[in-house]
Amino acid sequence: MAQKKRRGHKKAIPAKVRTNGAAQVDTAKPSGDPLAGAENLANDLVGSVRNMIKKKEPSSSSPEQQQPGSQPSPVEDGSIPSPKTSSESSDVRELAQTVEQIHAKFGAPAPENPTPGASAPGPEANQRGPDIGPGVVEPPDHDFIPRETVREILELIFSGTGKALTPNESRSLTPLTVDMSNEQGPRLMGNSESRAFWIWLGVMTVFIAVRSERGARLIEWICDAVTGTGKSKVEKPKEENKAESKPVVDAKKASTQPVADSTSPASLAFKEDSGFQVPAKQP
Amino acid sequence: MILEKLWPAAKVIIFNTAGDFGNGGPRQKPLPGFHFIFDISTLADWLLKAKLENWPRVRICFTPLRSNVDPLEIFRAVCRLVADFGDVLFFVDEIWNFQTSSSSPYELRELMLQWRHYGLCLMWTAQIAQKVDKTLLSVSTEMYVGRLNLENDLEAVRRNARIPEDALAQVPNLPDWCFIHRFENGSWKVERP
Repeated sequence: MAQKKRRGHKKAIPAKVRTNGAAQVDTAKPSGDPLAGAENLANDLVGSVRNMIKKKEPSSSSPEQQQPGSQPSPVEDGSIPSPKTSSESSDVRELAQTVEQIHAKFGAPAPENPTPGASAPGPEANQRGPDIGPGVVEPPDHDFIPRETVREILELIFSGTGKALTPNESRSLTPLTVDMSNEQGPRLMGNSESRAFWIWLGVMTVFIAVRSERGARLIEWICDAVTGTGKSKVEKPKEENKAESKPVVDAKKASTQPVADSTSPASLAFKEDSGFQVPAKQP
Repeated sequence: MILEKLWPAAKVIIFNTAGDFGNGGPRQKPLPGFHFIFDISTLADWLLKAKLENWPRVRICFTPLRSNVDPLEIFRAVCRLVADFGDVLFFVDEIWNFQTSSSSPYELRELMLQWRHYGLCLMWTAQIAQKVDKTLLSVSTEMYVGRLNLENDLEAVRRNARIPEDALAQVPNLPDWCFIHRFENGSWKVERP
């Protein structure tokens, strides 16, 4: 190799000498054909420029020539699309050079082809979902409800009816808002089947709460138990049961007339509590 | 809070230094929509392909795995890739791993000081303010400062991060998850995620 280089070097030197010599001869002529001298000078200039281009050509075109060989995987058909502008092409060229250097320094990449649908190697590759394409972006899992809204809802739940939360208490809700609502929420709601289930459950709960007084009372009791506001309210169902049973007794009593009334003559006058309706007046 | 900042950007590359981000680990912060890469050569291929095909969105989280290679070398290679890729948000977690209070690698210095040339936005986090390069502290346009108690940390922030004195007075007593947000124009306010 060294000999070859030497031989090539020897060839180059006479060419330089010849061109320089020709230039010297032409310019040293005091008189003669000025056009011929200019032609020689122009030829020398063209020759030197060609030599310069020949020397620079391999270095300038090497990234483009080496790209397909060194980077067969980036493009499916093996060809690299031509960039639109020269700045873009220089950017891509620099990046390709950097990629080559990285491959040379750190080794070839894993057999994975960098296609958007492929999964990355690593411990988490099997644990995550399918990858997105370059133009397709999944909606954010986080903050599907604004954090402030979640915070306000939680503050309303935890503050009960009247007592507002202190700033410290409100701050303590942060793990709940961030971790539970924003992270566990999307996980529970992420699957379409689960989402349908939760929507159905929510609709049915609202339906039961609206239609059934006992259901509404149960939900109210659960909310009171969770928030811890007023233990008297927890015992409320018992009181309500008493209240419910009492009118039954009163109704029974009302159904049997008092002893004193049984002996007194019945009044024909209309009373609202008599249970009879006022007959409609005929025209 | 970090995700709020990352999400609007079309092209994001995360250098997951400590492995905090991931969609599978029990103590990992999830990053939906990100592609996780653990090999520097694979990362290079992905970025080259994204550049060639003009992907409208690039979201990559690169986690360097432990190996015989010097982590600093890997970081410098990633910085070179990011600079050549251009027009991207580059997020470095725990950046003090790759710098001292007075020096940074050349590649990182380029990103810090010549980011406009590459169309870059550099985001970083650090637990210890005194270990962060003072150049980075001084050129950062926006800053979130959590609770700091050590005098050296406070001094680093006071001298280099352009935090006003009245805001600095609150730094040692900030509650958990509260940050002083210093804006580019020097104004500030207390924020919590």
